[in-house]
Amino acid sequence: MAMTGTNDTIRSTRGGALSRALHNPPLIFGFTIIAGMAFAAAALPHLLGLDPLAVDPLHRLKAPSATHLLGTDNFGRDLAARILAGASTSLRLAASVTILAAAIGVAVGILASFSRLLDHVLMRICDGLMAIPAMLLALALTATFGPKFSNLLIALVIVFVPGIARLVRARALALRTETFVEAAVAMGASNLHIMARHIFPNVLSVLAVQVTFIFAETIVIEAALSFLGAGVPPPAPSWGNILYDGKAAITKAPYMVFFASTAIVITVIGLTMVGDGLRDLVDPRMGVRSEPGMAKRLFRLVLPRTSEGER
Amino acid sequence: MNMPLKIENLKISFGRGAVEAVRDVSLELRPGEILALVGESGSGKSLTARSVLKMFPEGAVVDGRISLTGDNVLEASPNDLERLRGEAAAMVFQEPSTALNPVFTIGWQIGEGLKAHGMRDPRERRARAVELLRDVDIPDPETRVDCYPHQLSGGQKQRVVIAMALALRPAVIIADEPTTALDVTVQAGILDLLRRCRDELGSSILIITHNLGVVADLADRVAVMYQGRIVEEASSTALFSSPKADYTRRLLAAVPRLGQGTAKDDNTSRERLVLVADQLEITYPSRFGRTPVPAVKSVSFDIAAGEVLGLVGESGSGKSTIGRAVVGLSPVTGGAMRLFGADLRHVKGESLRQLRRRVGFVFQDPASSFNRFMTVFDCIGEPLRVHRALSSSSEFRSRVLELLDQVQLPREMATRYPGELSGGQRQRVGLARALALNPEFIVADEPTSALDVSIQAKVLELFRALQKELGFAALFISHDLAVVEEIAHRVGVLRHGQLLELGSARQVMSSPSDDYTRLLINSVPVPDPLAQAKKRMLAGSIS
Repeated sequence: MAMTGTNDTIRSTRGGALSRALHNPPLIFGFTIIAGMAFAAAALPHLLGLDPLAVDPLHRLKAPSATHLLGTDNFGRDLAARILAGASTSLRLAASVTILAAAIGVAVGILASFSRLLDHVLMRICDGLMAIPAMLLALALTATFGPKFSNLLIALVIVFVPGIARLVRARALALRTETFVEAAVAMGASNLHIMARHIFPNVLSVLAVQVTFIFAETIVIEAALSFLGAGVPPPAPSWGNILYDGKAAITKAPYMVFFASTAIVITVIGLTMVGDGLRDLVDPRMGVRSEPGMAKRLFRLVLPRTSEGER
Repeated sequence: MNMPLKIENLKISFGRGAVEAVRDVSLELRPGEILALVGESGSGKSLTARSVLKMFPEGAVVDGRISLTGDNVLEASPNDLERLRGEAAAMVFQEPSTALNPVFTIGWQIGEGLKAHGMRDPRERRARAVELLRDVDIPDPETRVDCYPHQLSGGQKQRVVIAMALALRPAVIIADEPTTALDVTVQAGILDLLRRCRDELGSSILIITHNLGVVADLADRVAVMYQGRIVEEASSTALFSSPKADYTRRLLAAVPRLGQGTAKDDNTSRERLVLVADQLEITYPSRFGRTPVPAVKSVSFDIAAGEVLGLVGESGSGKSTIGRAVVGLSPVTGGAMRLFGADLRHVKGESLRQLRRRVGFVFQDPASSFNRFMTVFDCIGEPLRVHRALSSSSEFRSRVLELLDQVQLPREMATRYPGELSGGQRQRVGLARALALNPEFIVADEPTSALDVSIQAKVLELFRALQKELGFAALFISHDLAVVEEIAHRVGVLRHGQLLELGSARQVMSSPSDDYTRLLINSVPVPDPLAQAKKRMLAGSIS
């Protein structure tokens, strides 16, 4: 029957979400990079007995050798240990920022889509926050409250919530006119039920993509803030701090800047690949016309956000 | 004799032969003939028709030979193809509103094809466009030629699309479901126009449709497609009087016929009224100084317990708005609408929720009325969950499975997702969901118009059986008179938000008192070529 035909085609699109993921090289590759980085940051320092804070004044700015794989910095600290510890700082921060921003953004976005008045109020606040360049806002907040991990976290969450809220609100507004949401209204479902069971699962797909890019952006902004001295306070290692230290010694030990930037670039590339892969997974049509290319997006990540509007 | 169009052994497959959409189709279109290609969705009829102009979706593997006025289309060079498209064969699309470009005037769009085929002088093009618009009966063509598509009605747009197809006097016109998106009264006019194209211009027409009434009205010969094959090919009269293939017979049996609905015993007492609309007015609120749009104007009707009221009307008549108002999806702005005695204008919050609990709603499009993240089990059980109707999870489970049985779906379906089901199965799930709380009243908003005829017949039968068994009252909304006649005890006819006629189904359909109802009934093409020809003669002699 004609029916079986449709069944076949549909089964191949859904039942194979995992198999489609496995046939998505960017996703697999990017995911491997990030997982590898996280694993290295969590396990290697203990296994190799590396201490990122151990100062060794006799061996300052030593080039890479057998004892210090990536050399030492201007205090004689092992660079490999610091980069790994920095990875742990960066990934932890990025993960917390992403989760918090996503949670708040989704809540704000969905709430806004359910009440006209709330919508106006919340979205005007978002507009206001988005008018300030991300870097400036984060810098101002950490400068006011002092450079601490928690302050940095709060600052970055405030930076990213408006974008997510906007995205979720747009999707939620579209969903509210869908028949299945009307069906739920018609059966007498409460708003809370509709938000949780119908709107939320359906915004997840767009959210997943956005969130990976925010993850990448957080890493870059954290590095930039630490470099400017408004990020993770020294001597705690972070990629930005290493870059800052490396800047002073760039003529004597260019490898410091090189290794730290390489770590950042690899992570961001990995995340961008995950994001691209996820996007193809969520919306197969988008894959065909692979608009803003990866290189372009990477470039955009390091540029100030002012010109971007609400991406 | 040289055939305008000859398709030989056409095979179209996708995904390296995984899906064979068209299998070995051979067709011949004779000069001045109207050939109908009939089939349900997925039968490959559109694909076959589009291949005449070599318009394939991505990834199609094609084999065979199509000769269009002597040229082999499949092997034609791009230059030849450009010439053939438009000059040898032209296409009329299903949805006139998307077939026209909204940013250009219709005159420009008609001229576009002329220009591509060598008419250089803009004044000449314009004159030709006006002439063409006059040919397709657009009133006042000299001014209309400068109109934009949105300034025309749906029927007029389809006429413009036909004018565009006629622009170069092609030997073959391919019409892909040309009237599916239109109302019946408009459809009749378009069918007349197509017939005139053949009679006056001598074009051969290949019309693709799923509507057997349209076939009976228009076609000389019919080819029935099923699963990519042509199962039967015969003259239209022969096909309708003595269908040979098994599938054709089933298809013909499934078509609801006007005036042949079985008599329904109307033993409902009018003592207990479920829904009362009294001078009901529904006006959509205006925004920023625009005049508010009245969708429903002083409509009065009532539905007794256990009764099915059919609401018929064309698009924009306000029939869906009334249905949506019952569950509070549209606002009641004037008059009164009393559901179980409670005035819907003043019910809010918890009492509205309790009212909604007693009403089930079946939506038109089964594809979009389910959340794709929920299994069939969760979809059906949702109303129970929302109203915390059943306390234990085992009771919950058995109720959902019972509902699946009631709508005749296998219990294994419970774990599937709506996207994996066919249209008919999904609509059954929709029905099960509406029935979950044992409602006393069901609103069915065009529940079968997105389905193929044979599936529609089964769903309607199920609906009727369930209605008889469970005894709920229903408001059945449809644009299809035959469907309403089959289902409803009483019928109301709506036009421009006003109720023109209300009476028992038999009475409204057999002896309508309102002119518009008569027009509506007469416009429905009967799936019988002889009867249809007689009707046409009659109409011709009157006018």
